[in-house]
Amino acid sequence: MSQRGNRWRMRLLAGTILALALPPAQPRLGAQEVDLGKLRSIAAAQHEIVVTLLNKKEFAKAAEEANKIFQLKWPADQEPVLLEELLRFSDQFRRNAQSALALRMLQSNMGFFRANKSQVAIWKDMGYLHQGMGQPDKAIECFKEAIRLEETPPIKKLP
Amino acid sequence: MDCRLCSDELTAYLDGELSAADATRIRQHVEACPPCQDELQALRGAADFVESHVQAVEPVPEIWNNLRARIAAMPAPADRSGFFQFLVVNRWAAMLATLASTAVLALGLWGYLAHQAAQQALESYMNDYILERSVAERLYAVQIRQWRNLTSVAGVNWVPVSENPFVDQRPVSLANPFVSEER
Amino acid sequence: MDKRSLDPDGNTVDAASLTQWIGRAKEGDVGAFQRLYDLFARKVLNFIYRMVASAEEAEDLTQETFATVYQKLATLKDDARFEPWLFRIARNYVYQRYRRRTPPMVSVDDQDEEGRTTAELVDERKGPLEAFESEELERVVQRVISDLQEKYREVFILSAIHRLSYQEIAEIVGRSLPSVKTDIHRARLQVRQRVKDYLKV
Repeated sequence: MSQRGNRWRMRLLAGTILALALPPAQPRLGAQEVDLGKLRSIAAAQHEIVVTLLNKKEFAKAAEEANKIFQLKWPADQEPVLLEELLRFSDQFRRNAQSALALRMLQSNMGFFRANKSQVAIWKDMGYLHQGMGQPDKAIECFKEAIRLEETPPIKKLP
Repeated sequence: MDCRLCSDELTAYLDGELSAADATRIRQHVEACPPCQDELQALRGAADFVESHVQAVEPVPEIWNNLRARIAAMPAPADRSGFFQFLVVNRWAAMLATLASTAVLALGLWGYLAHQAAQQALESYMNDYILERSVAERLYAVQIRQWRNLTSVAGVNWVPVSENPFVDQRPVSLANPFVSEER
Repeated sequence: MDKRSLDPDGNTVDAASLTQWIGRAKEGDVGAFQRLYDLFARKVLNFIYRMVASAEEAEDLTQETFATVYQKLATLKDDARFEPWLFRIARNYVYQRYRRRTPPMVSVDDQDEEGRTTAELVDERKGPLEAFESEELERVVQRVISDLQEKYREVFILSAIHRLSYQEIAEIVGRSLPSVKTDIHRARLQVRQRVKDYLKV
């Protein structure tokens, strides 16, 4: 059973090496024609690159490569997947004592997320990061922003 | 009351969750209505069956022993006053103390109370979220622990696999790595 | 009839003592915290156990739940809401253990094994059980509960087994009272149907 897993991983690794060997893929896609399959391929490769860089502790470079995923011209229905990915990366940076970098990554990529729900999740994560960094003032501001964007407002009038 | 309305309320009736008035109405309907009587009986029967045969487990001592050890290694419980209380509340308290006239004081008091409520709601919102995140962090720690235990077992080759959301979780062909293959 | 007296988990304690222990536990008094553990561990363990159908996992998650309780106790403003708050935490663990926002720490294959833990308790026999010894009936009940969709399973367990009030259940699952009431009713209808199915010879 584990052989199947190993084979899959080897193939993915081979694919990554291939992707790394090629020149960086600039998504030269027309605004109208968005090939989802192609986007996913690019993103898949970028994901592996980011993970590799994280394992090598090259955090700044990892953040740079991560940004490239969110800059692609994704259709709106991919947003939940992308949100998961963004927050997943944020977690990994935070756990590696790179909260500041995580914050910057969230701030730079927030603009690519249209849905209120996504933005709420991002603001909350930022609040959590600030709280972990001992910045309660900034944390509160982030949570207030999240509340303002909530679809069913939990609080009527913000303090 | 018709049967459809009644049947929706039967579980709440059995659980004692209806108001006295509603409960009476249901009881009266059921007494006069055989199908609803059967329904009530069936629900009651199922509930009794589950209750009398549900497995219960007892907490083993290990749970507490491990817990005790972890608590000892923990920093002191979170600051009792909460980390936001030092902020705006104090500013309001100070402002209140300096207000002179009753009218302004009344407005201030109303504003203060409204503010208190909003402040507490905000705190709940934040605490709920931070609680969720703490749970996630702990589960992550549990996963790491499980992984470490597994990797220490001789001959087992477990590797952290990065969940790539852009790839179908099926083996891909070597020729084109980003095309999922039919299994 | 007092619902609490039907609570199979036993142990009711007066609100005043509970508040006292919570207060002391907030200050770091481990003895007081142990009292809270003694009072609620069985309930929490059984709730989690019925949700995840694995005794080992339930033990792990119970431990984690109380560890979180100890650390976050200060954030509980109203001591009277301790029990719903406690269950909320336990519930968080139950749901989050599937939602991985992190790289899983084991290979893809291991997840198959995890998926099978539900079967640990349930008899692998094919059709409805024929001999009705009490052990078999326990298995039927566990199967019935495990068959329920998570949303219905949790409100069923909380209402029918733990006998919490609908208000408390609404607080624990974070939904409105009417919505919870409907879900509880639906869950019980499903249970009634399945019990009937499983007991048919």
